[in-house]
Amino acid sequence: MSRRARERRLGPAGLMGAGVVAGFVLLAVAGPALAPYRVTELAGDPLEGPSLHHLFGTNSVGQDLTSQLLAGARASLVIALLAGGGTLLLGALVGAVAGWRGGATDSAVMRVVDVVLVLPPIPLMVVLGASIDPGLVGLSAIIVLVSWPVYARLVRAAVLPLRRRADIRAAVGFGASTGQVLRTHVLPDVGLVLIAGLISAVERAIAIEAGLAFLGLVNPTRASWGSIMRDALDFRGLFLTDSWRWWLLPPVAAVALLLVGLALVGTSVERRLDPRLARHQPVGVDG
Amino acid sequence: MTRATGLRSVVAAVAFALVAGACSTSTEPPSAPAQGDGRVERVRVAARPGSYPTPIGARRQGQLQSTLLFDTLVWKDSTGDVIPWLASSWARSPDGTEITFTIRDGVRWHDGMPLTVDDVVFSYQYLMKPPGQAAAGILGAVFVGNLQEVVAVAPDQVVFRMKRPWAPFLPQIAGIVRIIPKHIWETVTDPIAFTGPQATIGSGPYKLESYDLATFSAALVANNDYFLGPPHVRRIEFVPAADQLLALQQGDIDAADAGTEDQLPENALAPFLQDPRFGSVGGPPEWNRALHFNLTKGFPFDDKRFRQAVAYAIDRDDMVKRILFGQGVVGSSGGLSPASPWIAPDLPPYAHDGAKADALLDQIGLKDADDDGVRDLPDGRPFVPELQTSAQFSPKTAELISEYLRQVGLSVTIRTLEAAAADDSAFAGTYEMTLLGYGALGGDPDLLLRVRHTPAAINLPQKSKGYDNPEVVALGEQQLFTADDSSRLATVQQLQRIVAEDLPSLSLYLPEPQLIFVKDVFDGWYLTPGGFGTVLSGALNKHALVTGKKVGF
Amino acid sequence: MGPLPTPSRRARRLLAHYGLTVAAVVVLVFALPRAMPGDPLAFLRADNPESVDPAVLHDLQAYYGLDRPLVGQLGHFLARLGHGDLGISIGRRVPVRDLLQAHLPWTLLLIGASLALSSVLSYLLGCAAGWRRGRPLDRLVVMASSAVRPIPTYALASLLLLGGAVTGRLLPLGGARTPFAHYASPFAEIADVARHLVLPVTALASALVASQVLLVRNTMVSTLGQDYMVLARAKGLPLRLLQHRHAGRNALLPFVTSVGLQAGFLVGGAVFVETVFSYPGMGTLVLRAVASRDYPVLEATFLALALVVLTLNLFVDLLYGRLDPRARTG
Repeated sequence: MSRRARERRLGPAGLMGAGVVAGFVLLAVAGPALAPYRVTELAGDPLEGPSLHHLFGTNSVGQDLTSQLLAGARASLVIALLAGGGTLLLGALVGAVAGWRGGATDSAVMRVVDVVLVLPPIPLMVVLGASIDPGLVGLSAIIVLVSWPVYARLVRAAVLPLRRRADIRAAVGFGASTGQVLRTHVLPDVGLVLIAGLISAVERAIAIEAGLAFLGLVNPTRASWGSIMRDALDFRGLFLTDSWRWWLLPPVAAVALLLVGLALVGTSVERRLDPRLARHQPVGVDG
Repeated sequence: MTRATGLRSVVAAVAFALVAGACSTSTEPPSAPAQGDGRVERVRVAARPGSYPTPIGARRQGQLQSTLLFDTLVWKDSTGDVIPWLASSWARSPDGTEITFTIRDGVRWHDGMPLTVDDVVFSYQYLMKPPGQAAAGILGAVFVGNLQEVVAVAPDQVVFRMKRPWAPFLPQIAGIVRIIPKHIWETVTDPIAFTGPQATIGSGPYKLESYDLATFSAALVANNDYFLGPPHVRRIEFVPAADQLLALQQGDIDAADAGTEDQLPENALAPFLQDPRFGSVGGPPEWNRALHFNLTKGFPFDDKRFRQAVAYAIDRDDMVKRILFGQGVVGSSGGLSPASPWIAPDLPPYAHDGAKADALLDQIGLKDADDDGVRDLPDGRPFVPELQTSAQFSPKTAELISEYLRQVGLSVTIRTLEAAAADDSAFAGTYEMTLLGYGALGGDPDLLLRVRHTPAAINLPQKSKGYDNPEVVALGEQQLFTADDSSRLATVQQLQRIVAEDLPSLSLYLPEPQLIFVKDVFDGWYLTPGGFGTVLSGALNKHALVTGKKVGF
Repeated sequence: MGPLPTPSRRARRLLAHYGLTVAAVVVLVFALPRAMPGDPLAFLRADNPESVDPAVLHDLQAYYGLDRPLVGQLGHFLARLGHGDLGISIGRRVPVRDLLQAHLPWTLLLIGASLALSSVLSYLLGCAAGWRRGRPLDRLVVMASSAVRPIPTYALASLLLLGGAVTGRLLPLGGARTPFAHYASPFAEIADVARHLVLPVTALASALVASQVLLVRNTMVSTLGQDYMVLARAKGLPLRLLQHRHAGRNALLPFVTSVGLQAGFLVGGAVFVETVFSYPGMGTLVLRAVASRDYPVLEATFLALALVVLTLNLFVDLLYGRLDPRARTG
């Protein structure tokens, strides 16, 4: 790694990604203040094109799409925190315990991981989604339930070699508490893996939420980008009128842009972790 | 590297196929030469999900297709009136308890065997006892309990003897029970698993040529030995089409109709309605989206003034504009289609009136106690009624209602459930208010006015939960067990007046059905008022396909 | 960790591992559908509301074994499965085996074509980019894949559909073949199927290519820095041989592993693609079965999809053994 690259911790692409993500976070936080209407308010006529009153037009029942897009940013942020964070937390805990304990614990945990990984995630979420009231919290729980094994594997792989490291063995041998060992020896090594994992988990969660909404499996009355897409695609005249331009494209673009931004940040973090390391989580495919 | 060779050949094959595919255009079936007899060579419609088209308990598209493969004693034409079909005529005894059908001569099954009165008797008896009873679920217990016997009284006559006259016998029983070949079905002990080619041998105007389980596509070919002569339309193809109008525009299908709530704005329809190649035909609106109150949930849902206030608060004209783009009508407070021949003329319209809603809500004690702009319960606790909707079908309707109710100070929580879970909840009655969609509002009123409002009758999602008005129950029985059509009309109208006042549910809006078709292919389409084969609606009435006419043969 | 396993021990361990996983999956596919709210016989009241007699319902429940306690149902399910009997679809009244036969081949074709296409493309592109590290081709590959990879499959598929709809009839927008077509030759039929595959495969394969091309490229880059490669170059071995025989082979190992890891995601992505292009594969079957709570179909489809993933994993495990000398010789 060159000195310059080391200095600029994220690199230009990473910085750009961070900018995009920060922009979306800002929109999500400031959304309620910026939104010109309530999300469900019948603010205009059905299918009004973009205008000063409705920057992104209105949908088929006359709700303001600008307000819905802003609310969607917020929904994505909540999902990112709840589902993305939860996924990594559960995955990291399980992976760390398995990797650290080793032996029977490890094989038992990894067997569970294998079983969950074998069940196709989307159909699995379809089933789980039908079982509960698909609000944001429930939805996050489902995403966590389905996604954690990937990250358990990741963290286990990072923790496993640590067990054999001389300094850690020595520290344990000298009677250091587990917390101390974790803080002083393990975390610095695994920390970057966790950050990279978190970004990837957040990406995944956002993609999955929008994807489930796309399949019509989340609460459609809670505005999210996915549910705006679903509304649009449910409208039979979408391609027979030009409403797809202001109704379908913006949420698709928003999801894509946010995910590309996150991916840029993630790639940069992983480059720091290991310059040769490639990101090969198939984020695009799972949602 | 042998592995690489194998891989390379796979790649080569895929690449070849892709290139070859891009150049190939010769996959359209060759168009048949024009026939001199004026018959229609082929009609293509969109394939829809459904079961295999057996005569016993088929579903949705399968149920529709089975009406083309099998026949019933009577049928309907474009007027919606019952017409003779396998039965050339029928007669009722003076007290209405006996109906005698005269079966046509010379009718044959697809396998060449003659259709006899024994087949007719067998078909009905098969549905009344196991194993046919469970598999079909066509004849309800109330009907079977009322039926004394069905017997052949002459080589061409069958008589149904009942304890009491059964008013909707012709459309609801004789019009839906498919006559099946006794020589095939008498040995069938497991009708559910009986789905081979033998299962689709009927006497109907069409035979099943092919059926694809993966796409629901199917081809039906004309039965040229049909008792009404060779069918006008020779071949019906059910073609997979993700979007019907797109498929119609691209020439993949010859007729397209809207789904239940899939209306289009005028500028989207214009390309079809202005194009001389396309014709269109409408029909009476018979499917509705309704708001149901659960009266078992106590105050205020069990107070009719609350339900009336909600009705006044909801701007149903605005819903027709926003949900249906103006192509629909506001529901009747009696629950039937406004176009139904059974409609009562003088029902309260519950036109949008915020002041009336406010007054009624004030009257029952739902007032804003803490001045937060939201009405509270009489004891001061906040009132947050829950409105349930299926996530797939009516979320926008729910949002509209919550907006209207907001105007009169009611703060509604919307609870969305996945479709099957919502259906389950509606069936079990675990909601306060729910949105439901159902049809058959233009057909016989027995289901809508008796079954739905009689607590002891079978449970259904669209049942009025907790509604128990003895007068309604009595009138419901009265209109069912009668043979006198004019007194039945009076009873049915009286029922609607009571229901409109009590308002256990509110019919919100009914979309106006419209069929758009390619004129050159077939222009004899019509939408049957009241539907055919009970809940079936749409354009594939076999009377049109067989005769090419609106009425007559 | 003990000594590295010998081939037969490895095989036995693999077998035990897959056996256990299959057993767990079988129990799960039975339990999952029944955990959902809803009633597989609910269609009766929608289709024929006048006839929902409790007696009829009870008979039907008994027919499908739904009136037994769960343990009894599980036993019945396992016994049925043991005989290779997948039951009868409650909603569609046809044997589930026939439904699988109608749907599974299309998903296998879709996944197989996507996997083959993406593997070849990403391997070749990745090798080429890694070999020319820092040059325009490399930069282009890295940039393009970073941009495409995070875009969700359904978004890409919707955009492709939109593009297809706007450009007219160049490519079919839905289905797996032209309905009721009469083909002049088997080639015409293959061509027709291939034409229908173009858009779905593009949607499904793009994300795969984007994620794998970087992996291959990066492995290539790191391999090229290894001593033996430097030595081989110094020996003056032909460039092409070097690129594929030595460097490429090294890149193959992590590549194959990642293909295995993606199997589950591939099946999930196929659900979206099938939905968008109304492709008659397993995804459409699953979604419909969920909507109608068709237990026998749900059990069978989940089992089939899990087996597809497992088979791909097993295939990778075996291939891994052949590719990695350490796993082979022990």
